[in-house]
Amino acid sequence: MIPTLTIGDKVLLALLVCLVAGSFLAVGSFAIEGNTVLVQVDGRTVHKASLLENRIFPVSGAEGALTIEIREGRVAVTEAKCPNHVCIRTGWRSRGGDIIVCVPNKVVVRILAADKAGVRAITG
Amino acid sequence: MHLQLSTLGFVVLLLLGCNRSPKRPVTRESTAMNSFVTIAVYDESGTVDQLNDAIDSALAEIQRIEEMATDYNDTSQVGRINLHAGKDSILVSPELIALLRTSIAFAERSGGAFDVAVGPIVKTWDFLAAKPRVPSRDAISRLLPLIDYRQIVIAGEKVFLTHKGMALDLGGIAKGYAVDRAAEILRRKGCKQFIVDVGGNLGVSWEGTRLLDSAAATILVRHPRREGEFFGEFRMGTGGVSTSGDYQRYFIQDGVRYHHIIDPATGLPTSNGVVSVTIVAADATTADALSTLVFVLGREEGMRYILSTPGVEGLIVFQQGDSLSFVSSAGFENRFSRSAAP
Amino acid sequence: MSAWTTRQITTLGLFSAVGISLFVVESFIPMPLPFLKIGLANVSSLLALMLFGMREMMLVMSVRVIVGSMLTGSLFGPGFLLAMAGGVGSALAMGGVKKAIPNVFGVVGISLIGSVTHVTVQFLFVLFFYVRTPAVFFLLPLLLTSALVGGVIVGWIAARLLPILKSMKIPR
Repeated sequence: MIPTLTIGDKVLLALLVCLVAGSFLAVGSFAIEGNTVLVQVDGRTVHKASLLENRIFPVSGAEGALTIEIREGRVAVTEAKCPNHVCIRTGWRSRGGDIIVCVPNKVVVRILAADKAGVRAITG
Repeated sequence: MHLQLSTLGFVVLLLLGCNRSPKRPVTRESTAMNSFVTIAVYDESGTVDQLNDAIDSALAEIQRIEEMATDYNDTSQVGRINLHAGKDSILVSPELIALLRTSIAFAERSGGAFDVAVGPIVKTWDFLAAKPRVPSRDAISRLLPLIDYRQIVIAGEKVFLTHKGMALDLGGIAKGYAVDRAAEILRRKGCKQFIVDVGGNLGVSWEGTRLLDSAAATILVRHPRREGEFFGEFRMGTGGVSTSGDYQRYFIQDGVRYHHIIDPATGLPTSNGVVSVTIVAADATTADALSTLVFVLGREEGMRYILSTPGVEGLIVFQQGDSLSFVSSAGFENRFSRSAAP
Repeated sequence: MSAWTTRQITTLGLFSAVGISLFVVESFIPMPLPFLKIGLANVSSLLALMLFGMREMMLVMSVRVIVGSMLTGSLFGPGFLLAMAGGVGSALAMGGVKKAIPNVFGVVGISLIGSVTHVTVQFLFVLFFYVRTPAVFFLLPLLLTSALVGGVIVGWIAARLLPILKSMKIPR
């Protein structure tokens, strides 16, 4: 008869919780206030845009085209040629470190800080 | 069991403590004066609610300035002045009087390159129409005599436009003024680090002491020809910024680009090769007026004007053959870096 | 490897059907991000492991993944590939650990091993074969958290059902 929760289980759980917490901290140290949107396809950077500016632009993924929209300081994938639309369902992202992934298209949309510190506004 | 529970508790606390969700800057967006408005407050002190309150007031102030300065209806102060051109003098607020006096001062100093009496010509060009057309030479020449700031009479608290058909258009200075007023409201509510943005006219206040932050705000200058790209960037502390460009509002007829910055002397869009002017000044009102003014003056006279005005720095981008070139005041050069071509 | 008896096939078929149903039910539960899952369907494959063995679990898991993919219309896509990779990996881990060090872990523990392996295998798959950028590491904490929570929930449900099923004396 296999027990529900053994001592081994509890140790495992504790270890895993620490692991997960550690992963949050590790990743958190990289998450910074972001205002640049970086789009990578298959590991290659194909597009860079500012979160400060509303834009709609297409991206070619491995299986088809995606449409990415930047609006009011947030970014989302609004159209995509992929079976499950996980990327679209991820919704609007705006925090540094946030990412939207479309696995079949090998597309990653990331939010990072600008190359130079603290771009705050656009004139023109 | 206790050991596990306390570990869990510790970890939960750790996670909560490391909550880095950035609630700053508190940013709000809106539209006013035919433009996109963004107010971002970076202050660490004060609750999000307090900051939102301050921003509410600032946004309301921008609306108020729009209502005062717009010439799109007959009931605003400016609208009424225009409606009674050549007929009656209109009683207006001291605030508007002050703004008009400031505008006329700019007109005088620039020999008329900046002229708020430019209303009739701007209306004729009608850049916001669905299908703008170039007005006829006749129409323009008939209107030119009405474009004269010297025919604006201010007596006490009343404003009178001397000739019928004259009209005020504060488009070249109103947004900057609205930015300054909004910034003043934010300051009065205790904000120290913020940017007010009305259609690219910026009011920057950068006096806070955020440890992790840069001592200055970095501002991107839009590329005048490549949409979505930037010409360069510059850093600044507290002050006002404005950019006038021939790409902001224009239409093309018969292969010729007609942009919205009209030379008051000719009634036509300027064609001196200047495509974009960015001005950094102590306040946004000055920056707004100057960006239009310098654009009309052209590359050489415009730069002379910048250099001869204390507290003002600027960048002039112009067409040189097939490519773009630029000149900037020494102060601007120090803080500016040109973007590398992609 | 002996052939399955009709009885066995029927029983495993039922387990697979339960797994598929749980999969469908779970798709109606809203989650903040689309790739976070509890993995309710794993209750049936976990029970298959506990009652029968690794072979049976593998079978139930595979049938569920295949039919599940058919139902969501992603049979020949990356979704299917990922689900299979995660499923097989977690099944191997769960079965392997149970066999190698018996009595160390309870139902919840085995379930956790399964869920964490599942998520890790899928993550590595996506990292090396699809997106190929370290950017996806940002998703790892959330993925691991959902694996942790899901593993505990699935394990707990399975543990509750185990004695009931055992008393039904379902033959091997």
